[in-house]
Amino acid sequence: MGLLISGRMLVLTLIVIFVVSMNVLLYLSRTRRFRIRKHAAIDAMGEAVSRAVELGRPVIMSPGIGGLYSTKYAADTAAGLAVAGYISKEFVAPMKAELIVPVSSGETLPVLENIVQQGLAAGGAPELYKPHETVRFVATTQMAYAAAYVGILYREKVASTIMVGLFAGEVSMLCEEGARCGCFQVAASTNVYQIPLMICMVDYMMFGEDMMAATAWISDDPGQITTIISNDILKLIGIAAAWIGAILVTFGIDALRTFWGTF
Amino acid sequence: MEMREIYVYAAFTMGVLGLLEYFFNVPFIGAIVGNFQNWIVIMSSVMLGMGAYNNLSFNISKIKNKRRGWAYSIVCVVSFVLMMLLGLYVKLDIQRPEWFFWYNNIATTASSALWAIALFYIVSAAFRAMRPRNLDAAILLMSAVLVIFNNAPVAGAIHPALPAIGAWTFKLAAETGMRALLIGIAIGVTSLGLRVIMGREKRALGGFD
Amino acid sequence: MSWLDKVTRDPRPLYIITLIVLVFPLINPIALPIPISDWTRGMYDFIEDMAPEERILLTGHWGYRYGELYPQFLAVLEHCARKGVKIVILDGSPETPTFTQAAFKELSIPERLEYGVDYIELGYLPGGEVMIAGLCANFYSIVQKDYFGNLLSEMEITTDIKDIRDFAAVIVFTGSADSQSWLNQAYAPYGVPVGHSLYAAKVVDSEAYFRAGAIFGIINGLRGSAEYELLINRPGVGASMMGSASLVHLLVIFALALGAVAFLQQKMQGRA
Repeated sequence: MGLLISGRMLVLTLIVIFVVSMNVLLYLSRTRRFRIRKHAAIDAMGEAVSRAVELGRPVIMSPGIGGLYSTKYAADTAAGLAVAGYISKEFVAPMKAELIVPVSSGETLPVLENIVQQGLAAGGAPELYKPHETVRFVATTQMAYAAAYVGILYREKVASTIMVGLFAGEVSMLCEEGARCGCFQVAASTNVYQIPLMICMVDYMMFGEDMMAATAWISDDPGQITTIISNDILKLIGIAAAWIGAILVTFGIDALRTFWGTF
Repeated sequence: MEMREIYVYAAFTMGVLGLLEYFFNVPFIGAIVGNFQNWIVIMSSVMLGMGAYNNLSFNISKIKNKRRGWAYSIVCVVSFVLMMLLGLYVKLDIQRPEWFFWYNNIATTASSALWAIALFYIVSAAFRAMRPRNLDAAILLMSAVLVIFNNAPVAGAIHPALPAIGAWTFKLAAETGMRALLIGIAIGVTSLGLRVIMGREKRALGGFD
Repeated sequence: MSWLDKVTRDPRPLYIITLIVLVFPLINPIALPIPISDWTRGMYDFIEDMAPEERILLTGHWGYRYGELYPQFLAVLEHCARKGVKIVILDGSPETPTFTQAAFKELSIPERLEYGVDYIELGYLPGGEVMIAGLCANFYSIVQKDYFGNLLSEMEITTDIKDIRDFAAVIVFTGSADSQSWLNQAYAPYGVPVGHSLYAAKVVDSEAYFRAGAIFGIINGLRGSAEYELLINRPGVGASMMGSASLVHLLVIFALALGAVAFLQQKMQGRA
């Protein structure tokens, strides 16, 4: 067996392309500002918080039911963490809103407590952070989390909800009860089998890549923006490869697939 | 050196080792990564206990300070303690009927009831929220109806063509769109992982810029 | 205010209709033909073609998503037991062992098979995909004892396992990320066949992999478990619930149509 493990070089090649393009773009960003579009849902988050302040009721920010250990869903949870920090600093602190963050996973709890506390402090309102109240661990299982979330909606008379993270089967309950409570709802998810449901039930929605790009826009960090552009480069490569591969296979030429399958 | 810098260096080291282990056949790296994986399994076990402790701590604090909803916290704490005592009583032998009776008739029933509630929400959402406000929404609704026919055995009894049309819609639209979304999401997830490894995404490590 | 507006504000009449539609077929069963999909056929044919000395790993959350996944697990476990393949069970969540034991009791597994030789339960291992990666690379580095504390090295069924390639297949019963995790860690690096047994909403996630040949079969929620029960000629919960499931599907279509009518009414009145 050689040094390289066969059948995995395609992924390594794409990783190298991504890392090289990201660093090249980062170097270029010293002299040139790259922009990505701002999603309307980001403004809607500010609207959600201001609505809550006007009504004198709290706003819920849910980072979803995911943790940080799953390779597929850690990205969703990380996006939720980024949004939690952003809204704490940019909207909740300046507007003196009441924020509630129900948490589902044990490993995310201390991270979120830190992020929200620092965000509120950076926004100039550290006193808004109440231990065990602002960020609260509610339940690990999906439906127990949903039940706790709905309980908070009704008991605390929540005015707006911001849901960014991993959401699964409980989303019908979360969104429908939020709508029934008259909440202004902003949601973001990459869970493709819940997106159609969420789109119908919430006021603003980011799905798939929008959610990942939103964290880059929120940070306004050239590093994060250039990674989004690098993502798009990989997608263009993927589109080109799909077209070329489909045409080759149509004419019976399997060389490309065989090469990447064994290399 | 700040704590956050240590986190970044640790994430970089473990991330690079994990990548090297995946792509290259180097025995000592495989052994190191194997050890990391064992530590994570151990840490996850500790996290389970930490999650239980956090839950208890939050609810006990709520009861002590009589914060809003503290009565529900009493139910939570009492249930927690009772099930723990029951587990110790049966000496962790879950085949004992005492354990299965209480677990199945309380925890499972409650969980199943909550899942069943989702059905009512779907029906009410179908009526209230899923309306043909524009052409896109109308097309979404039509395709939803066709795919429902694919899943319901009664559709075949109504007309044999209905499940076939539903299956065709599913394969053509859902599967095709799904492939594109899967590729996009996979690229996004990979790039986020690489950003964390390279120290460009600090929020996942508990930091705030 | 029209009755449609009233139902929009207060959906309880809809809830009552849903309850009636759900319960009625349970009292008066409706016999419906259940065509077998190629997803379920793929899963069934794979297990049917397995040789008795081959080892299969069944893993998942049949305790957590009891309603849909437990009937699927029962059907597949029964099929594996009849085929005589070696069954290794890895529970996917802390509450799953309770239902694994219940399944063993329901199917009389201890009376039919010998523990440690024909089947074994490893229990729940935390750690998510990291645990799965470790298990696939080096089995004994992650787990050394079974759920009852017996050393795996002393059990005939597990004594010679080195990594995931010593399994003929992995079948994942889940509604969460596990299905992708096992694809990432068992199929992609090692080429071990993976089957998915999912709740219905998640099937769209796996369909693309099924068409690409990455997974050999999908059991699609309660409908899939009904199909599987018919294939193994053991009708159970899945088949008995198809009447209810079918009528509720039609009710959802009715609700969609009613919602469209309500919207058009509001639009004509200038309120939408």
